[in-house]
Amino acid sequence: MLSRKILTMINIVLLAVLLGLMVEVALTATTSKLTLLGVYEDRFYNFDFSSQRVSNANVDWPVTILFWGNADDPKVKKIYGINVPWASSMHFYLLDDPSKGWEWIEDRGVKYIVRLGPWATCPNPNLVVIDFGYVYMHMRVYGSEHLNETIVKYNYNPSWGRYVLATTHMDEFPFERWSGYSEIAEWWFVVQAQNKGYPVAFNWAYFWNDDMSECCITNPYADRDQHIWCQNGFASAVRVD
Amino acid sequence: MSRLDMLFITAYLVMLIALTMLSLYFMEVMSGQAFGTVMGEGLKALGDKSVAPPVKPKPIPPPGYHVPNLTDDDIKKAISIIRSHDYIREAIDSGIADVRVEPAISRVDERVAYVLLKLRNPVNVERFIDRGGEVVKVRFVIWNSIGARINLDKGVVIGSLDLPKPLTKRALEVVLSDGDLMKILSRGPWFIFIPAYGSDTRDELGFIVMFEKPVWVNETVKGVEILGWISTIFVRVEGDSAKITGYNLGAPMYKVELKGKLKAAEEIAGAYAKLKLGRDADVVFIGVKGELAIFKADVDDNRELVVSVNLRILAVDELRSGIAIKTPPSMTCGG
Repeated sequence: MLSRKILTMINIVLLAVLLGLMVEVALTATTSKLTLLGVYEDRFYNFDFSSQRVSNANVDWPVTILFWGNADDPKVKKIYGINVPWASSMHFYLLDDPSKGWEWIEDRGVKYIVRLGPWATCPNPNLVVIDFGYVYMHMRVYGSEHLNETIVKYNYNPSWGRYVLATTHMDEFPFERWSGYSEIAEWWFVVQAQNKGYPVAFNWAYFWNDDMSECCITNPYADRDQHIWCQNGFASAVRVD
Repeated sequence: MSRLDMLFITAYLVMLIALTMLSLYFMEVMSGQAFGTVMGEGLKALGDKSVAPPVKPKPIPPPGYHVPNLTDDDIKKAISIIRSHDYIREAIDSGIADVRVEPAISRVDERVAYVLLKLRNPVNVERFIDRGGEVVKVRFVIWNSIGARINLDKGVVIGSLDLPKPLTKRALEVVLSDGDLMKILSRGPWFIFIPAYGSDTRDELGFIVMFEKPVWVNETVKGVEILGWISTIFVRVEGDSAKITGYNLGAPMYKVELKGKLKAAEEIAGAYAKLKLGRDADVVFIGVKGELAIFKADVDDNRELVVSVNLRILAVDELRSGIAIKTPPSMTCGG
């Protein structure tokens, strides 16, 4: 009887440890690039936040992709299919409908394990190639909440139609000892959509969130806050009908 | 705990780890994300016609800020304020390609305009500065644009990208009062090139002091060993002290026509001859060979000093310069 109890306890501890290792640690970061963007009557920030507080010292990752045309979060997430279940939520602050006012939107996004292999992160001035091996690709998708049969998230304006905004980054696999390289993750998610037949425009519009300051580090494990900024500030657009 | 229990626990742990690894593998396979393939296809598809939304986002002032509307009077006022900086006025009068005044993000209780002056060409702004009776000519160069934020209500410049005046004046005072630097700068006419990052608010300024002609330096100046004909010195002023951060050998970057080059080369050759001989010596221009202008000075009956000045970089060509034995007089045989 005692041995069974011990066995159960070990099982629980082991599962907790395994899952705990894989659950993303939410690291708050600081940027000087936080700004409010507007299209028609819509307003949104160019980063998502670690908590429901707008501050340049409370950001997580930059907005790097716009899904537009007739997009909403279930449609977008369906493009990418089954994904790993452990991913932490972040927060996005937006104004879609003036009658609803400003909204905090929460999303855990979609997350995949991918073998990225060697990648040139810094072509200039010195070529830096990092062999990433396996990484997580993580994208969070944000839009105003609308209640149909279930809650569906999307925004609307006359130019972009129904749209959602996405932030992207990579995480080290499996322990997430560093996160970042939003540009590579943006490219990866856009290419996935393109390969499935969605029209895309790479680096379509400037979103004022460029920060290439850490693209050239040679060892992401040595980054002090494990939050590696590497994005060119130009978001890509993916048309979803 | 029996041996059977231990065996069971070990088997269970192994199974759990194996299942975790297997599930990770399947998640990758099921999502079809073999990246090598994706990358290849992605690159191939990059040439496809893009489809993008017609409107791009613009930054919006955060709460508590606004972008004021500017009237014609505001625009005139902004230009008048920026003209009150005498350096700017000279730049404007020297030839401005484009003046742009735009509303800038302001706090709700104030109105700020951004003024951008685009220059057709770099503008020289000359100054004569009295250093206790000795007048020194200083020339600033404003490369291509001047930008400033102007508070229209208070009528003052509240921040600028490249207004050179305040720091340059202060920096200049620091340079002029620095005995070591002035020892070098007094060797020839010089002027200052202002890099584009001067600011009203920065407490330091880096700039380039450029000689109109190279000057010979063979000494340690402010801890920096300098040897050769130098055209430029890079100076950084921090607070009340100036330090040398580098120097360029050879000719200044500005263009000098051949005639001017030969004249400059002659002066360089004369200075070099004086340095070598320890006395003034007339140098005679012999001719140009390739890039070299050749000068000679008599040392005595049997020797002469040959000085080759490289016209491309306006520096003495050390390999070809030096004391040479004169050609002996031709011998004649008497009968």
